[in-house]
Amino acid sequence: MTKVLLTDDNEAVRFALALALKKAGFDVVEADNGDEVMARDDLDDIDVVVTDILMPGKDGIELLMELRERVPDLPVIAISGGGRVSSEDYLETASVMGAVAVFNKPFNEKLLIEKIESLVAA
Amino acid sequence: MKTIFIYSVVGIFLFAGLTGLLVRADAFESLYHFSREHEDWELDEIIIAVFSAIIVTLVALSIFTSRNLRDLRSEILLRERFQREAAATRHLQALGTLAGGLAHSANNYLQPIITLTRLSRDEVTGNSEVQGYMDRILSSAHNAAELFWNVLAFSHPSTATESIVDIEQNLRQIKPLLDLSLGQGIKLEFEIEATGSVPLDSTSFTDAMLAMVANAGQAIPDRDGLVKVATFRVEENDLGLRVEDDGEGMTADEISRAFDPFFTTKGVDEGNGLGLSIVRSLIERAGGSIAIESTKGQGTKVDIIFPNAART
Repeated sequence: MTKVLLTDDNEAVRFALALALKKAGFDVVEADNGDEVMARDDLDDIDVVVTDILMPGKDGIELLMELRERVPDLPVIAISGGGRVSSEDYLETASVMGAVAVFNKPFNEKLLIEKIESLVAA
Repeated sequence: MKTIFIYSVVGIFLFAGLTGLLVRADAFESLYHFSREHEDWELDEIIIAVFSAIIVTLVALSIFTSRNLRDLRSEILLRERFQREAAATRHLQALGTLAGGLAHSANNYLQPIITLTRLSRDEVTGNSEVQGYMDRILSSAHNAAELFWNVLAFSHPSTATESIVDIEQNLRQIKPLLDLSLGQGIKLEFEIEATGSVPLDSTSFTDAMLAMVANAGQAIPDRDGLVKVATFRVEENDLGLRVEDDGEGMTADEISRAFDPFFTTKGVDEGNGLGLSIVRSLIERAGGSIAIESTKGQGTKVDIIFPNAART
């Protein structure tokens, strides 16, 4: 079963997306910030990371950079609600940092599921 | 003129007072006798010349002082206006930051609403009525999301903006923002009869449209009226863009000054008069022209013409 690590500091967002991913047949583990992700010792068992960009403490961009160093082959999808900068800036920054896709909230979770399935199939 | 008059009157009174004092002291009589004893000194002529010089100097001084005071007053007013504008700009920047934060939070609230509604809808496949309710929830949530993304885009213009804008596409994209700028009660209608691309970045286009539509809305009394945004072809190659309202209209004097920086017919808290002057600057930079047609009591039309707008 595909294992997805879902990281977002907003509990309601995590609940909703985790439910959608589980219904789609994925095994979902959750974290609410970047430090919690990097403290995990099972990152090699994760198939895809879905992470929010704007989070307190270690944000999604920093997390992306550290994951690329630690687990270079682990695909990361970034999600963003916008805020400090425009969505185009987040998209560009996340892509430069190695995110395989960026979704602007609120997005259709089916698109996220399709993307994860295509990453796993590749 | 008033200042010159006051200074002159004061000067005359001082002169009269001084003369009175001299008369009481018999100064003129003493001077007369002295001058008769020394006729060869031509004292009469000297005294007349001195008095004339004093009067001319007083008059010149009053004119010079009043002009200086007028210039000083203008400079003080201008400085105060610039300070007000700077404060308004800082306020707008703070509002932009606040709007960005608000939109970010709103998008986070909308995500679980949309996802959980969609998941729930999939669970009630046998109940089309409930599915219908959920479709309405999703529709409202998507409309809210579009509005918040427009606010975000407006508050944080992208650094990589296109320098060519498709008029119809951009108008439809920013319609929620334009509706928001008008507020309750005023209807916004689009009449797109022609479209094209113009050499303007999307941020400048949005700024110009917001300024014109907001101005149009503010001209409508009692917040009950219509603002129409229309596009049309002019000649073969030129594209026209019109913002029209059925508001109070403008006098000929107001029309002639409408594009002057800081000219405004609004109250202190309602606008700073920079809107149309900036709009004209943006439009002319894109090679276009702008003109106002209005009659007091019969609404206003603001027409922009973009020459040789590439058809899309």
